[in-house]
Amino acid sequence: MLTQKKSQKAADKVNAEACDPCGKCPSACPVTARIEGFNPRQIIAKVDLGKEDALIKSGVIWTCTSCLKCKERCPEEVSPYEVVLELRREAIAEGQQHPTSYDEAERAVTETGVVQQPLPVRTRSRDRKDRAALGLAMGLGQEPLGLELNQSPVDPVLARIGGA
Amino acid sequence: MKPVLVIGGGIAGIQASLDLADRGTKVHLVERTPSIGGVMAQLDKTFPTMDCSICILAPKMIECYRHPNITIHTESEVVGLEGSVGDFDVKVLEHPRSVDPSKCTGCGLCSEKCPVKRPSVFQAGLGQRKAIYLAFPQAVPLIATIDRDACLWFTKGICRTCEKVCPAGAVDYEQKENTVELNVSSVIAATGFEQYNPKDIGEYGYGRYKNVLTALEFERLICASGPTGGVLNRPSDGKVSHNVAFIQCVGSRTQTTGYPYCSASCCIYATKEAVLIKEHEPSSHVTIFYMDLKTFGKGFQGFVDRAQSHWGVRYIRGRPGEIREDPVTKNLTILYENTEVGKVEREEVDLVVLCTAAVPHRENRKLAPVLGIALDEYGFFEVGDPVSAPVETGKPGVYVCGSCHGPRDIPESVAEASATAAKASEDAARAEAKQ
Repeated sequence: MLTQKKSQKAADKVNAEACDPCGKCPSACPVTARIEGFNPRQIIAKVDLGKEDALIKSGVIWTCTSCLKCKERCPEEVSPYEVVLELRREAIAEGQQHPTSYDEAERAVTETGVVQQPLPVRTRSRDRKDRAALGLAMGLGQEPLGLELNQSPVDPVLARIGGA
Repeated sequence: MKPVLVIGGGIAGIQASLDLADRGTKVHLVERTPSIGGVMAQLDKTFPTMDCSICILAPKMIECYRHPNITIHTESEVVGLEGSVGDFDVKVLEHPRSVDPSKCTGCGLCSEKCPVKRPSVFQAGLGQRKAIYLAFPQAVPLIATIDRDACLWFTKGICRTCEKVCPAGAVDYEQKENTVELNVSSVIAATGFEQYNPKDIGEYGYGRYKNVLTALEFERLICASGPTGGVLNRPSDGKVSHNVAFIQCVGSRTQTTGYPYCSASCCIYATKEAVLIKEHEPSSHVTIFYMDLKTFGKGFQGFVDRAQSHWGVRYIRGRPGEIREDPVTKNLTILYENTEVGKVEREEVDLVVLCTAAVPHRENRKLAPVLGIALDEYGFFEVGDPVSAPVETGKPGVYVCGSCHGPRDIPESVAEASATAAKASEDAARAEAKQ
């Protein structure tokens, strides 16, 4: 039985105790093949043992590419992917460490309204056009489109997205 | 004394028939295919003693054929059952063989000359048979049969070569379906099982990769009476395979694609096949990927230990996640995690054998309503009580034995067959006393 209250959420998401430790998920996982330390089978085992804190602190959860291969291959309908997603939400909600690219993406959305940075506009004759002159959205570091900026340091927006 | 009906001519059906017949009860043995023998006839060796399978089975088959108390109905189906224990009226539909059984000598000239080829069921699809054929060399009864869906005379109205070459004049294209009505005291169902088709498990590439075989196909490949005469010529290029991997629990012990139960015999037959490879060529490299080694039978654990220590069969705990084929060499790379050390590794092999689940026979769904007995959630026959009535069904006088009510190995099937024979002869004696 799980003792830590915090584990409940991730463990509820999947039936971790149904895991046979057969090793099918790590052998299918494209991350495990390339990055040492990320093993979906071991993540499930640790969640089952209530060792979520250690998992979140180690930072391995951020290497998952969410390709869903583990979920597809699992013979017991356990989904390591969903566990990883839940752990990420917990990490963000608690303000634990997370990749800086997440902050950048969040900043891009709040500042410019677009996730991907706008590319420079070029005509067929390779002339560069000014985005502002064309009335298009601006990228980071450029003139924003007049959105209200949320500059609070803890990133409540990101926390809300993470907690969703 | 009233006869007993036995449905299915595999090892369980044969054993039940022989037991009853030796007690002086008449038996009607109904078999769907052209020959009795079942799956055991297709096997090369039996575990854990490594005895030749057909050498044990063939004498029993012949005894069935020669026994004055046993009537064999091949290419027949049970289509109706009425009445109650001691007095069942059974309808058996005999499909036309298109060959007169009283004239055919089983010489095989007809199949030699027949121009139509079809994949052989006995060779698990690896070899070919003709449109007129003997099921296998040791077939009982040794009578040719015409596959009407393949025969040129029945499909296009031409040929009739077999009729011209038959020295006994046994070919009879005019044969019709025949319904036999029997009155029996009890019924024994021994319809057996099927192999799971691993096509649905896409990551193992069965059907796409030529060198991925099921265990039954491999059993034919390594058998001396198989399509290659026992040489491990792999299907893609005929190269002799010296590096073979077995994957356990394909289609069994899963909640998604397949069946959740354990198939009972895979661990031990994989070990048997691994040892067979080593016996053929001791320098071969054999790996078995398993989840749990379930060696519950008598002498099984010793057999596995010997395979490891004496023959050098490698056991790796881990279910492979993927098999990839080299497009040029057709070698297969297995991606697996050795869960004992938690390391993801790959292994290149010549041939992969999938140890597939034993699944209920598709005919069970047709037969269960005819017999008036229940099926479980998977399609196996339901027994009254697994502890106190392991071979009885919900209907008095109808018994089940062998792998038609759950995966079984040969010794267990034989033991159950004898149990049903005892039950059936009890019913027959009781019916006799009533008259």
